[in-house]
Amino acid sequence: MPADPERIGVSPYLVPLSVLHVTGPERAAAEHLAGVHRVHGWDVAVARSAPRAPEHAVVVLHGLGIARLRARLRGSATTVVLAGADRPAGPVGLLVERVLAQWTNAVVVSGDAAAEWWAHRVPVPVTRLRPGAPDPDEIAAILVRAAAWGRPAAQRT
Amino acid sequence: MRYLLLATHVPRSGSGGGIVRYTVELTDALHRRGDVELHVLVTPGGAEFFGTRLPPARLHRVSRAPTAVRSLLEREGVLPGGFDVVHGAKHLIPRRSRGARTVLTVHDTLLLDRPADFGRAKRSLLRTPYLASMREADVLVCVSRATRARLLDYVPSARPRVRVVPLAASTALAAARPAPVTALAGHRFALLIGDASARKNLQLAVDTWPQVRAAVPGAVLAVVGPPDWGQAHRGSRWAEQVADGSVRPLGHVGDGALRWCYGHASAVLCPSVLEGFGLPTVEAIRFGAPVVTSEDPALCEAAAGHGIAVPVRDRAGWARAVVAALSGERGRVPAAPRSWDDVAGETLDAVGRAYRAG
Repeated sequence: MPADPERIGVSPYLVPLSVLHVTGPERAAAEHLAGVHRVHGWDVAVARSAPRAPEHAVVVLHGLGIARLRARLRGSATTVVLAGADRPAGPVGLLVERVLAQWTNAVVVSGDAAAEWWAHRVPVPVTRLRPGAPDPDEIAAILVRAAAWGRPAAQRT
Repeated sequence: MRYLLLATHVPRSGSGGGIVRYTVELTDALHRRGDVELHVLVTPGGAEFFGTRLPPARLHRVSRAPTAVRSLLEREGVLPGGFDVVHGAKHLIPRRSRGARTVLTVHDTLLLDRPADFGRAKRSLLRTPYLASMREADVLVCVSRATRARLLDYVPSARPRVRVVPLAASTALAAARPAPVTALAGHRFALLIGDASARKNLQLAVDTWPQVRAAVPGAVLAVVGPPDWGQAHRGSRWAEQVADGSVRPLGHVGDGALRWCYGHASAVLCPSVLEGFGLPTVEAIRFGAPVVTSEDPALCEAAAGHGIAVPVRDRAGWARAVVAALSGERGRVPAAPRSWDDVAGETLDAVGRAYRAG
C-alpha cells in the first residue's frame, strides 16, 4: 500500500480523485505531483487561477501568495494549501491567514518549526510532511483525507 | 504513588461519551492497583458518582460552574498538593502542577482538525490551552498511533514524550448479561453506533442501505446513538426507510442490549470520516462481529486487520463490503482480549519512564 497507515487506512488511489492545482510562475512541483497522480487514474489539472466554484473535488494552492484565492473560493471545494516552510509576513499577513483559516481544510507544511508556528498562531488544521522531498503518495493521502472530511462549510454539525 | 485524575467532566450519572467512559474505566482500573493511591478532582455531581467507587478522602471537589469557567479554573487554578502525578483526562492539564509529573490523555485532535464541528466559544477558547497542555505535559498518552501522528503534526516537539496506549472494550459491556432487542430478534442486521453528526457519516450507511437490501433481502440496519446535539445528517432516505422498517433507530441502549446487539449483528459498520480511536470497532471484534470501516486510520488501526476498510467516497464499494459482511460468518471471539487493567498498566509504565528520564 503506497501510504502511511497513520495517515490513511487504505491506498489513496483506490478511488480516483479530481484535483485542481493552482500555482504561480513556478509550476514544476505541481506538474510532478499531477503526473504521478494521473498515472493512478486521478483527474488532475494545473492552472494559474481557480474559478469561484471549481468542478474539482479538491483545490490545492501552491504557496501563500496563491493561497489568497481562498477569499474567492470560500470553501466551495475542499481546499488545501501547500505552504512549505513559509509563514505569512507581518501582523497583517497573520491577520489575513486567521481570516482565511475558515475556508481551509489543511495547511501542509515542511519542518517542525513551521508546524509549531502555524499551530500556535493560526486556527487551521495543520499537516506536517515527512522530512525530505515531498512524496506524491504522502500528498495523495493528505488530499484524499481532506476530501473525506469535506468542505469546511459542510463540516458543521 | 499518589495520583490525581482530573475528572470534572464526569456527570452525576457517570455516563456519557467516549471520554467520560475512558475516565470511569481508568479510575476503576487504577483504583484496583496496589501501587496507586488514586484521587479524583470532581464536580459536586461527579462526587456522587465517584463516591460509590472511592473513599470520601480521595474526592477533591471543585465548585459548580459552567464548563468554560471550570476548565479555566482547572488550567489556571491551584490544585491540591502532594501528588506524584496529575493526569488530565480531557484536553487540559494545570499550568502549575506543584511538583507533580503531568500526564495528558489525547483522545483525538478533532477540535483542531474540524473546528467547524464545535461551537464558536469552545473552538475559540479551548484551542490555545489544549495546545499549551500538549506542549507542557511530561507524558502524552495517545489512544492510537493515528492520533499520535496528528498530535505530532501540531506539536512535533512532543515526540519524546508521547506514548500510545490503546483503549479496551468496556468492562461493563463484557460483564453485562445479553438482553435481547425485540426489534431485531430474528432479523439479519448490521449495527451502527454513533450520533447523526456529519463526522460520523451515518448518511453513507443509510443512503447505500437500499443497495444492500437488494442483495440481502430483509436485512435491517440498526442504529444505536444518543439524541442529536446539532444538525442531523441521516441521509436522504432516512424517514422512508425507518417507516418501512429497513432502518431501525434504537436510540440509547443499555449495556445488556448493546452486548446482545454485538453478539448477534452480522456486521458492525463504522463509516465515520474521522476518529481518534474507534471503540465500536474494538468492541465489535471483542464480541466476534465482522466490521466494515471507512479509511480513517484510527478505525483501521483499531480493526487491526479484522475488518474491511472502504474509502468513504466509494459508495458502491461500501455497499459491496456490507453485503459481503452480512453474507459471511461471524468472527472468532479473541481468547485474551485487551482489558482496562492493561490500559492502566501501560499508562503507569509511561509515567514511570518519564520519572526515570528525570
